[in-house]
Amino acid sequence: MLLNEFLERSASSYPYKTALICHDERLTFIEIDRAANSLGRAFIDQGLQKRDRVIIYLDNSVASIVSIFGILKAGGVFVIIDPQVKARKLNYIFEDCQAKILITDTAHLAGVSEAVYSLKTLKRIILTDEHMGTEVKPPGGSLETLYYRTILKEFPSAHLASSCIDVDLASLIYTSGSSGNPKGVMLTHNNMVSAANSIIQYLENTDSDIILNCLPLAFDYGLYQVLMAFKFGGTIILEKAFVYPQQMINLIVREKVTGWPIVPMIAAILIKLKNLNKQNFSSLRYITSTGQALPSRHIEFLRKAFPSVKIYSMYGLTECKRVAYLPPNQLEKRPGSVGKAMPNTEAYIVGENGEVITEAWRLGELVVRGSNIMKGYWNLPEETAKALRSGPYPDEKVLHTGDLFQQDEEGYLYFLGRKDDIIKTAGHMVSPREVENVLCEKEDVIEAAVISVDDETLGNAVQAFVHIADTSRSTEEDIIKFCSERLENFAVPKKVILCGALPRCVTGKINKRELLTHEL
Amino acid sequence: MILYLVSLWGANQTKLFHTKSSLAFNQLLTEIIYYYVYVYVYNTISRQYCRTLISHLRVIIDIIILLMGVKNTETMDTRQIIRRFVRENYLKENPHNNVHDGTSFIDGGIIDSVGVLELVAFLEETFGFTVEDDELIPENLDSIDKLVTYVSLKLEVIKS
Repeated sequence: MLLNEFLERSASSYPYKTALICHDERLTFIEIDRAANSLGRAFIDQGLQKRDRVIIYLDNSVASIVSIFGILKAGGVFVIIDPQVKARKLNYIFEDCQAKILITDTAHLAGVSEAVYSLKTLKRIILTDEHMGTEVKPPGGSLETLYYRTILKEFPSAHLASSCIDVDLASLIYTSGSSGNPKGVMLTHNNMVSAANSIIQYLENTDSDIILNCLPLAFDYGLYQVLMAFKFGGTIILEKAFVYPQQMINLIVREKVTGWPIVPMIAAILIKLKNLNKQNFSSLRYITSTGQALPSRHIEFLRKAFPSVKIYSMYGLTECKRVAYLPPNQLEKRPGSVGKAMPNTEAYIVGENGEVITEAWRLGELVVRGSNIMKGYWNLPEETAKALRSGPYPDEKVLHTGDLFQQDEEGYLYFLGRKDDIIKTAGHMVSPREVENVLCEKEDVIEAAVISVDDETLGNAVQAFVHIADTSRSTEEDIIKFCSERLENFAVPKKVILCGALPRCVTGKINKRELLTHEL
Repeated sequence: MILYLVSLWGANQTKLFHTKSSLAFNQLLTEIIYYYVYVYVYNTISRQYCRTLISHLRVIIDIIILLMGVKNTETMDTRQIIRRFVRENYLKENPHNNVHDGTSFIDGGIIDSVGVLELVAFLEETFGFTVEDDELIPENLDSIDKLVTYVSLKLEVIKS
């Protein structure tokens, strides 16, 4: 099956059902499919060939969704870049994936126009807003600008059959790399269809589901909300971001939302609301969380605030989308676990010599098997060889996640941190995650990040950055004392730095590299 | 006279006259005191003229005190305070960002969820009211213009 068939099949089964709600726009499946057909034809008309890359540099919007499917129908590979990404990084990604077409709007183009117009491989820009008068003129003049709305009017909207098969690339998703430059994760139609199907299966999605997505489409977690809703014929409500909490709550109540994907940061904000328990969340069936592990205090809060809602704690990485989920009925018993492998996926822990670890609580790297595993990193054969290695069967490669895990006696998985993040201090191994969890248990702590810093006597020392509530009077010493009551001595941070909001990546994860280099 | 000004200045410093106009008002008082001392010490203009001038200023100050808390003065200050907060907190990394008083924080990518928490803490601390959960919507908070209107309404509610 091809990814674009998610939309095409729903457009034939539920043509006039609302597929997408984005601010004051409501579109049916057939409207989106027709618009994507027109756009796909325009791409082909402009010379786009199978596997050519097209960059979408837009806020979450109707145009970004139509673009994804238009690109797929034309046989292209879509690359979604978060509009928060600045010119330098955008330029790197353009050079890396050699995209021929850029879809953006005037406001976002203005911020990066210099970088964009210097690109040799870029042939066309498609602007999704109409500003005919204020057109940005390229210095070279070779870059033709087309207008999204004109395309939708001028190109036929009848069904456009793709020339792809399911082993063709559908998307490159850029993720932060250890070298500092982003890596393009290559995903085929089959990879993405397979991941979407597994997730739909365990979330028990049906065509009556209404999903609220306030996560960026550049983040695979946000993107899959749309793909999956189109697959099961549900409705997706697309918001630019989770910024004003009450606005999201009002949406849930008004639109009778059934599924709400969140990241731990959103839970941290919900905790601060005073009237959450007075809201009517009766439509809500499930909340999912991934991106980073949910601190146990947040889990407890969510369970109390949403007593009849299923809460799924999950784990995954862009390289295979999702690996594991914890069945909601296990949340109370094992709040720290991310569960077991999702349907049609296998996950196991290996030791330093590659041996499979079966005993409980022994630390090792998580390895994943499944049809959802990426084809590799774009243009990075060495990095690819490190991640995709021969597994138990000679005919296949398995994904080495680089994440350290343990399992309990019943095989439930526990995430401990990135392999590279483990801090070796005074001969002990400290998992930053464990220390961060303890810090987040303190009531006035909003978020915390633990890193390793050089230390003359210890080799490495544990250092914590703590974002505390403005009303809090806790000092650095109070926080160290709090930790020393709960952690082994070697794991207690040697230094605590109180600061404002921590720097974050587009995915909502705390950007630890920035913490290492920046004085807050 | 100078004692009067100084005591007024002191009262203002200790927030006896705690309104949002106090900053600008105190600035004015300070300047008047400086001016008085200046003319007194250097005697560049006659003492009689100075007395007249000060008595006039006194009347003006009294009028300002009466006007303090009047919406007009407040709005002006509120706008400046909010502009400054937005500039210093959200535009640091993006100095080229062209933000007008009407620019939407969401559309401009200016504010995120953590930013809203900081904004709420700032409003509560600076203006002394509580931001309720159901006020955490873009209609109240999503641009400098909207913030000014929201803050003015909240302050009016407190006063009444």
